[in-house]
Amino acid sequence: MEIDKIIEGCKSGKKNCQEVLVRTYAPVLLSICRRYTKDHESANDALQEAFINIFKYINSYSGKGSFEGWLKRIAVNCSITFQKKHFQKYHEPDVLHDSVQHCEIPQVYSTLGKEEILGLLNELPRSLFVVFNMSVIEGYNHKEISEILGISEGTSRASLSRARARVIEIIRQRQEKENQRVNHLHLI
Amino acid sequence: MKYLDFEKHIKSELEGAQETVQMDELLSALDLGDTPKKSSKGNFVYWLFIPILLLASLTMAWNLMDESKSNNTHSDALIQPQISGKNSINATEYTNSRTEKKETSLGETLISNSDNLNNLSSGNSSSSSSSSSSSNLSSRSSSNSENNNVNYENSNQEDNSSTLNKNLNSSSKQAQTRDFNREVNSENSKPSTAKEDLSNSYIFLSQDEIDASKSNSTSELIENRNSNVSSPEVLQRDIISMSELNTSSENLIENEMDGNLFSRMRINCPSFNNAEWHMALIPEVGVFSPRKTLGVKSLEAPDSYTPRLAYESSLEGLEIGLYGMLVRDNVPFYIKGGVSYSRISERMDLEYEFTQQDTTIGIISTTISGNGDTITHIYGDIITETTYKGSNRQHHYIHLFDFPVSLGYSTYLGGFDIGIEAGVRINFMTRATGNLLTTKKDYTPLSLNKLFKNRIGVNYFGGLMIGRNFGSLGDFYLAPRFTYFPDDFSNAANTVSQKYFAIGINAGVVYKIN
Repeated sequence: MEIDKIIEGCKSGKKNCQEVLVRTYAPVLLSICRRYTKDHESANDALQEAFINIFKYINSYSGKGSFEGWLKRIAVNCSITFQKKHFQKYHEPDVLHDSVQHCEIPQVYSTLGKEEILGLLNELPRSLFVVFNMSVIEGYNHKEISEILGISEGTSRASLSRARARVIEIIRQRQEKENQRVNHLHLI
Repeated sequence: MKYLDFEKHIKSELEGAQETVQMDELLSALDLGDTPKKSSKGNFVYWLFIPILLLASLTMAWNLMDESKSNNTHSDALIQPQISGKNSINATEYTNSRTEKKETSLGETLISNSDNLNNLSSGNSSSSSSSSSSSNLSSRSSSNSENNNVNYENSNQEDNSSTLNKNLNSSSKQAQTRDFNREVNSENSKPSTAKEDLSNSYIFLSQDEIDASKSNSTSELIENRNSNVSSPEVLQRDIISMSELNTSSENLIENEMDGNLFSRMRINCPSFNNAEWHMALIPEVGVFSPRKTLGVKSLEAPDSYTPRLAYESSLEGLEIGLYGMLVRDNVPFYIKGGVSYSRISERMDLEYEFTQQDTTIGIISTTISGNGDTITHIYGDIITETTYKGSNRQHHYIHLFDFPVSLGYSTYLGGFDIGIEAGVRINFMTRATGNLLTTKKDYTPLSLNKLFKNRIGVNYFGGLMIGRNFGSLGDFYLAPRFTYFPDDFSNAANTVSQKYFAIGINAGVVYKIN
């Protein structure tokens, strides 16, 4: 079934079209929700909330732009709303220089899988993690992030810089631990 | 590796990532179909009522065309002049008629001849089966060169009919177009007594006769009447008093009630058990719109489930049946039972595009040592990705053979037989044919693999019945009907459940068994 027919069916409240929509997009949206929430249970709740909002507001989808992008944005919004209580308000920090972006990291990190990457990113504070997620993975610009999160664009930029610095720091810490482990093995 | 490259890697890994979803839990939690709906089903309801409106229009047209005929019938039922010796008409011509139907025309009028038809001598004759009389009254008036034919029929309950044909060269003083709201001239409609000859009898005249009669003066008429009185026999008519006229509307309603489908059956049908039960045979055809619900019976949805949800659509269903109907005297309920065959058609307009990965183990690397004496093969997973894309249209059909039994209630309302009925359909055989999608793109012939049950048990139906008598064509009815199939159609080998309800309309003709 073409996506247009699915959308029209959902707008008409046809159950089978809604089910096709859920079955088609739920795995992708759950992956998004999973990135914004702490655990699978929260992600599932956020996903459910996302679909409720999707069917509630699908009549407002005009057909302009990517439908999948529209769905993802709702999923992101719902995930963030769901995690609001965990979302720490913070004052706008000084913007760090992005020299970290040119930092060298071990080549092994280019082969990390999805779960390993998520494990790494989950070490970030939630507020930084959300901004990092939205900017780097979802591709939102700072204006969009600020609108969604209700923060200023400056805060968004600062959070992203801090998140990147924190990622590099985590990698370095992991690398140091690995080096220590290897040295320990050599000593043995 | 640059950090920015690492970010690109993160993006590529996570952007299109998918998670395994507990789909059943999610779907049940979402309670789909609860969102505001457009009136897509409303269209079907409109479609459902189109034939009903059509039937109503046809009936109205039928009524208009048949108006004079039926009116005369009502009138004759009300006014049954009977031959007696009190009124005398000089009869010069006799005709015997066994006609039951009244030979009337649109121009027929009723004449209340309280004054004008007094003292008519009559010649009364009767045959063995019917009493018919004709009178020919000659006129003294020169203007009455034309004879006006006055025909009326006297229906005798025992003899079925008696016809009077009279040739009158005079006409009545008052002529009124016969209708239910006819006016009765006070002069003529005084409560009659037996002394008033033919005072409240009604005679049918054609329009020409009325026109001709208008040219005659009252005095001439009286002269005419008085001059030709000879009475070998006397016709006496029952007198219809004003009180009887006042109740004419009730009588008419009662007569119309005889048009009721089941009343007719009671009148004409043979009976069982001392005339208490009556029976009719009803062939019936119908179309219905099946509304299908697919579900998953296993923990994990089969590959065919999502494409079937997306692409499979129910076509219109067809139904034929033969019923027997039992009606009991003075009871508005009826029992119907019979056999029926229904066919549900499903069409799959499959369009598929998916990538399938096949993993095999093979040599993924071969190295030769520097001196060439060692060849090393490294075995590993060889992943082959195949993209399937195409479209395929197939149908599958479900054939249902049922014993439907229903109880109905019928009443006569506004010229129609209106009824409601509800019952069960006991399915005694179900067969499936065609091809059913069982994988993402492959169909299974249902003639080879049984994926549906052989019987689906007891189903329920109910609906309305709107009937109308079409004279000699018989009784025709339309019945909007809802059918609910509670049982799953698919058997244990089929992991996709398939349930239905249906909305449709049936049409039937009632043949009374004689």
